[in-house]
Amino acid sequence: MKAMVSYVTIGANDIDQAVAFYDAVLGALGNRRVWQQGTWAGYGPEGDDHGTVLICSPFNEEVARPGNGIMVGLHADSPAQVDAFHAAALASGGACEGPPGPRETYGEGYYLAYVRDPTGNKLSAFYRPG
Amino acid sequence: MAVGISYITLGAKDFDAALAFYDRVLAAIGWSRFAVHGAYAGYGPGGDGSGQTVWLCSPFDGGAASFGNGTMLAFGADTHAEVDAFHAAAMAAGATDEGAPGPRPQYTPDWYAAYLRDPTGNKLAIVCTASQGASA
Repeated sequence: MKAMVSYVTIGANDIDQAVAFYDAVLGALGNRRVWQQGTWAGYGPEGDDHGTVLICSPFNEEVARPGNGIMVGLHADSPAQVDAFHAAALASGGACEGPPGPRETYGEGYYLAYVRDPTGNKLSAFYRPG
Repeated sequence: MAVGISYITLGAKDFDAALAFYDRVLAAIGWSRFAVHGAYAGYGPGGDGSGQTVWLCSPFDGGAASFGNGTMLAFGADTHAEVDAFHAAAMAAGATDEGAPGPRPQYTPDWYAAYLRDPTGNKLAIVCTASQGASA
Protein backbone atom coordinates (compact mmCIF):
# COMPACT_ATOMS: atom_id res chain seq x y z
CA MET A 1 0.00 0.00 0.00
CA LYS A 2 1.37 3.37 -1.00
CA ALA A 3 2.50 5.90 1.52
CA MET A 4 2.62 3.55 4.45
CA VAL A 5 5.12 1.79 6.57
CA SER A 6 4.54 -1.78 5.48
CA TYR A 7 5.79 -3.36 8.69
CA VAL A 8 8.53 -3.26 11.28
CA THR A 9 10.38 -6.20 12.77
CA ILE A 10 11.58 -6.31 16.38
CA GLY A 11 14.18 -8.85 17.44
CA ALA A 12 13.59 -11.29 20.29
CA ASN A 13 15.84 -13.91 21.87
CA ASP A 14 13.03 -15.76 23.62
CA ILE A 15 9.96 -15.93 21.39
CA ASP A 16 7.70 -17.31 24.13
CA GLN A 17 8.59 -14.44 26.46
CA ALA A 18 8.25 -11.96 23.60
CA VAL A 19 4.85 -13.24 22.54
CA ALA A 20 3.59 -13.04 26.13
CA PHE A 21 4.83 -9.45 26.32
CA TYR A 22 3.48 -8.33 22.95
CA ASP A 23 0.14 -10.11 23.41
CA ALA A 24 -0.32 -7.94 26.49
CA VAL A 25 0.99 -4.56 25.30
CA LEU A 26 -0.26 -4.66 21.73
CA GLY A 27 -3.52 -6.12 22.93
CA ALA A 28 -3.95 -3.08 25.16
CA LEU A 29 -3.85 -0.94 22.00
CA GLY A 30 -6.41 -2.98 20.10
CA ASN A 31 -4.02 -5.14 18.11
CA ARG A 32 -3.92 -8.92 18.11
CA ARG A 33 -1.53 -11.68 17.13
CA VAL A 34 -2.59 -12.70 13.63
CA TRP A 35 -0.04 -15.42 12.96
CA GLN A 36 2.95 -17.22 14.41
CA GLN A 37 5.42 -19.49 12.63
CA GLY A 38 8.26 -20.80 14.74
CA THR A 39 10.23 -17.83 16.08
CA TRP A 40 8.23 -15.24 14.11
CA ALA A 41 4.91 -13.71 15.12
CA GLY A 42 2.85 -10.99 13.44
CA TYR A 43 0.56 -8.47 15.11
CA GLY A 44 -1.90 -6.05 13.61
CA PRO A 45 -5.06 -4.09 14.20
CA GLU A 46 -8.48 -5.31 13.11
CA GLY A 47 -8.53 -5.91 9.37
CA ASP A 48 -4.78 -6.43 9.07
CA ASP A 49 -4.05 -10.12 8.57
CA HIS A 50 -0.44 -9.68 7.45
CA GLY A 51 0.73 -7.92 10.58
CA THR A 52 2.45 -4.57 10.92
CA VAL A 53 4.60 -5.38 13.95
CA LEU A 54 6.54 -8.60 13.52
CA ILE A 55 8.50 -10.19 16.36
CA CYS A 56 11.36 -12.36 15.16
CA SER A 57 14.60 -14.10 15.82
CA PRO A 58 17.17 -12.25 13.69
CA PHE A 59 17.56 -13.30 10.06
CA ASN A 60 21.33 -13.63 10.51
CA GLU A 61 20.78 -16.07 13.42
CA GLU A 62 22.86 -13.93 15.77
CA VAL A 63 21.69 -12.58 19.11
CA ALA A 64 18.85 -10.06 18.99
CA ARG A 65 19.74 -6.68 20.42
CA PRO A 66 18.15 -3.24 20.54
CA GLY A 67 19.47 -0.28 18.61
CA ASN A 68 20.00 3.15 20.13
CA GLY A 69 17.79 5.75 18.48
CA ILE A 70 15.28 3.18 17.25
CA MET A 71 11.77 3.36 18.66
CA VAL A 72 8.44 2.11 17.41
CA GLY A 73 5.58 4.49 18.17
CA LEU A 74 2.28 2.65 18.45
CA HIS A 75 -1.09 4.24 17.82
CA ALA A 76 -3.43 4.66 20.79
CA ASP A 77 -7.07 5.66 20.51
CA SER A 78 -7.21 7.33 23.92
CA PRO A 79 -5.10 8.32 26.94
CA ALA A 80 -6.68 5.37 28.75
CA GLN A 81 -5.17 3.03 26.14
CA VAL A 82 -1.77 4.62 26.72
CA ASP A 83 -2.15 3.97 30.45
CA ALA A 84 -3.19 0.35 29.80
CA PHE A 85 -0.24 -0.16 27.43
CA HIS A 86 2.24 1.04 30.03
CA ALA A 87 0.70 -1.02 32.83
CA ALA A 88 0.64 -4.14 30.65
CA ALA A 89 4.29 -3.66 29.74
CA LEU A 90 5.46 -3.36 33.33
CA ALA A 91 3.37 -6.39 34.31
CA SER A 92 4.90 -8.44 31.49
CA GLY A 93 8.61 -7.94 31.98
CA GLY A 94 9.02 -4.51 30.41
CA ALA A 95 10.85 -1.51 31.83
CA CYS A 96 9.57 2.05 32.17
CA GLU A 97 11.26 4.70 30.02
CA GLY A 98 8.72 7.43 30.72
CA PRO A 99 5.42 7.19 32.58
CA PRO A 100 2.06 7.88 30.90
CA GLY A 101 1.21 11.55 30.73
CA PRO A 102 0.83 14.62 28.55
CA ARG A 103 3.76 15.67 26.36
CA GLU A 104 2.62 19.17 25.42
CA THR A 105 6.08 20.09 24.20
CA TYR A 106 5.51 17.68 21.30
CA GLY A 107 2.00 18.83 20.48
CA GLU A 108 -1.24 20.06 22.03
CA GLY A 109 -3.12 17.23 23.67
CA TYR A 110 -0.36 14.69 23.01
CA TYR A 111 -0.29 11.89 25.58
CA LEU A 112 2.42 9.23 25.55
CA ALA A 113 4.20 6.55 27.53
CA TYR A 114 7.55 4.88 26.88
CA VAL A 115 8.76 1.37 27.72
CA ARG A 116 11.39 -1.18 26.80
CA ASP A 117 10.48 -4.77 25.97
CA PRO A 118 12.34 -7.69 27.63
CA THR A 119 15.02 -7.56 24.90
CA GLY A 120 15.52 -3.82 25.44
CA ASN A 121 13.74 -2.53 22.35
CA LYS A 122 12.10 0.84 22.99
CA LEU A 123 8.41 1.41 22.32
CA SER A 124 5.96 4.21 22.84
CA ALA A 125 2.20 4.47 22.84
CA PHE A 126 1.05 7.68 21.22
CA TYR A 127 -2.32 9.42 21.47
CA ARG A 128 -3.11 12.72 19.79
CA PRO A 129 -6.52 14.35 19.54
CA GLY A 130 -8.43 14.49 16.28
CA MET B 1 -7.69 2.28 7.75
CA ALA B 2 -6.03 -0.11 10.08
CA VAL B 3 -3.56 1.68 12.30
CA GLY B 4 -0.89 -0.02 14.31
CA ILE B 5 2.24 2.07 13.92
CA SER B 6 2.09 5.85 14.32
CA TYR B 7 5.78 6.58 13.84
CA ILE B 8 9.20 5.02 13.98
CA THR B 9 12.47 6.65 14.95
CA LEU B 10 15.83 5.56 13.58
CA GLY B 11 19.12 6.64 15.06
CA ALA B 12 21.66 8.50 12.94
CA LYS B 13 25.37 8.45 13.64
CA ASP B 14 25.84 11.45 11.33
CA PHE B 15 22.65 13.50 11.25
CA ASP B 16 23.46 15.53 8.12
CA ALA B 17 24.53 12.42 6.24
CA ALA B 18 21.34 10.69 7.28
CA LEU B 19 19.23 13.54 5.90
CA ALA B 20 21.08 13.43 2.59
CA PHE B 21 20.51 9.67 2.43
CA TYR B 22 16.81 9.68 3.35
CA ASP B 23 16.01 12.72 1.21
CA ARG B 24 17.14 10.76 -1.84
CA VAL B 25 15.90 7.31 -0.96
CA LEU B 26 12.42 8.13 0.32
CA ALA B 27 11.75 10.34 -2.70
CA ALA B 28 11.61 7.09 -4.69
CA ILE B 29 8.30 6.25 -2.98
CA GLY B 30 6.95 9.78 -2.83
CA TRP B 31 7.92 10.58 0.75
CA SER B 32 9.51 13.86 1.72
CA ARG B 33 10.98 15.60 4.74
CA PHE B 34 8.35 17.83 6.38
CA ALA B 35 10.05 18.95 9.59
CA VAL B 36 13.36 19.35 11.35
CA HIS B 37 13.22 19.94 15.11
CA GLY B 38 16.73 20.08 16.47
CA ALA B 39 18.26 16.65 15.99
CA TYR B 40 14.97 15.14 14.75
CA ALA B 41 13.91 15.12 11.10
CA GLY B 42 10.47 13.86 10.11
CA TYR B 43 9.59 12.15 6.83
CA GLY B 44 6.21 11.12 5.55
CA PRO B 45 3.96 10.85 2.55
CA GLY B 46 2.33 14.08 1.50
CA GLY B 47 4.87 16.30 3.16
CA ASP B 48 2.63 17.52 6.00
CA GLY B 49 3.22 15.05 8.82
CA SER B 50 -0.22 13.47 8.67
CA GLY B 51 -0.43 9.70 8.69
CA GLN B 52 2.54 7.49 9.50
CA THR B 53 5.91 9.16 9.86
CA VAL B 54 9.56 8.18 10.20
CA TRP B 55 11.97 10.33 12.21
CA LEU B 56 15.74 10.31 11.93
CA CYS B 57 17.27 11.31 15.21
CA SER B 58 20.25 11.62 17.43
CA PRO B 59 19.41 9.29 20.33
CA PHE B 60 17.40 10.70 23.24
CA ASP B 61 20.00 9.51 25.77
CA GLY B 62 22.81 11.45 24.13
CA GLY B 63 24.70 8.25 23.40
CA ALA B 64 25.90 7.07 20.03
CA ALA B 65 23.32 5.78 17.60
CA SER B 66 23.42 2.05 16.93
CA PHE B 67 21.37 -0.35 14.87
CA GLY B 68 19.49 -3.26 16.33
CA ASN B 69 19.76 -6.88 15.36
CA GLY B 70 16.33 -8.20 14.43
CA THR B 71 15.06 -4.67 13.93
CA MET B 72 14.01 -3.75 10.39
CA LEU B 73 11.77 -1.08 8.94
CA ALA B 74 9.87 -2.06 5.79
CA PHE B 75 8.42 0.59 3.50
CA GLY B 76 5.53 -0.15 1.16
CA ALA B 77 5.82 0.32 -2.60
CA ASP B 78 3.07 0.37 -5.20
CA THR B 79 5.08 -1.20 -8.00
CA HIS B 80 8.12 -3.34 -8.65
CA ALA B 81 9.65 -0.31 -10.36
CA GLU B 82 9.42 1.63 -7.10
CA VAL B 83 11.20 -1.20 -5.28
CA ASP B 84 13.96 -1.12 -7.88
CA ALA B 85 14.23 2.69 -7.73
CA PHE B 86 14.33 2.74 -3.92
CA HIS B 87 17.15 0.18 -3.82
CA ALA B 88 19.10 1.91 -6.59
CA ALA B 89 18.79 5.30 -4.89
CA ALA B 90 19.96 3.80 -1.62
CA MET B 91 22.98 2.11 -3.15
CA ALA B 92 23.92 5.36 -4.89
CA ALA B 93 23.62 7.20 -1.57
CA GLY B 94 25.91 4.96 0.46
CA ALA B 95 23.77 1.98 1.47
CA THR B 96 25.00 -1.57 1.96
CA ASP B 97 23.13 -4.22 0.02
CA GLU B 98 21.30 -6.86 2.07
CA GLY B 99 19.28 -8.40 -0.76
CA ALA B 100 18.77 -7.30 -4.35
CA PRO B 101 15.34 -6.39 -5.75
CA GLY B 102 13.40 -9.44 -6.80
CA PRO B 103 10.60 -11.87 -5.98
CA ARG B 104 10.58 -13.74 -2.66
CA PRO B 105 7.82 -16.31 -3.29
CA GLN B 106 8.86 -18.16 -0.16
CA TYR B 107 7.22 -15.32 1.83
CA THR B 108 4.06 -14.84 -0.23
CA PRO B 109 3.41 -15.53 -3.91
CA ASP B 110 3.45 -11.82 -4.85
CA TRP B 111 6.26 -10.68 -2.53
CA TYR B 112 8.76 -8.45 -4.41
CA ALA B 113 11.30 -6.76 -2.20
CA ALA B 114 14.80 -5.44 -1.67
CA TYR B 115 16.83 -5.12 1.52
CA LEU B 116 19.65 -2.76 2.51
CA ARG B 117 21.33 -0.95 5.38
CA ASP B 118 21.52 2.83 5.74
CA PRO B 119 24.87 4.53 6.54
CA THR B 120 24.27 4.01 10.29
CA GLY B 121 23.56 0.31 9.75
CA ASN B 122 19.79 0.35 10.22
CA LYS B 123 18.21 -2.37 8.10
CA LEU B 124 15.47 -1.32 5.70
CA ALA B 125 13.19 -3.21 3.34
CA ILE B 126 11.12 -1.97 0.43
CA VAL B 127 8.24 -4.27 -0.39
CA CYS B 128 5.58 -4.50 -3.11
CA THR B 129 2.87 -7.11 -2.69
CA ALA B 130 0.63 -6.06 -5.57
CA SER B 131 -0.23 -9.04 -7.77
CA GLN B 132 0.27 -6.95 -10.91
CA GLY B 133 3.21 -5.07 -9.46
CA ALA B 134 5.34 -5.21 -12.57
CA SER B 135 2.78 -3.53 -14.78
CA ALA B 136 0.95 -1.22 -12.38
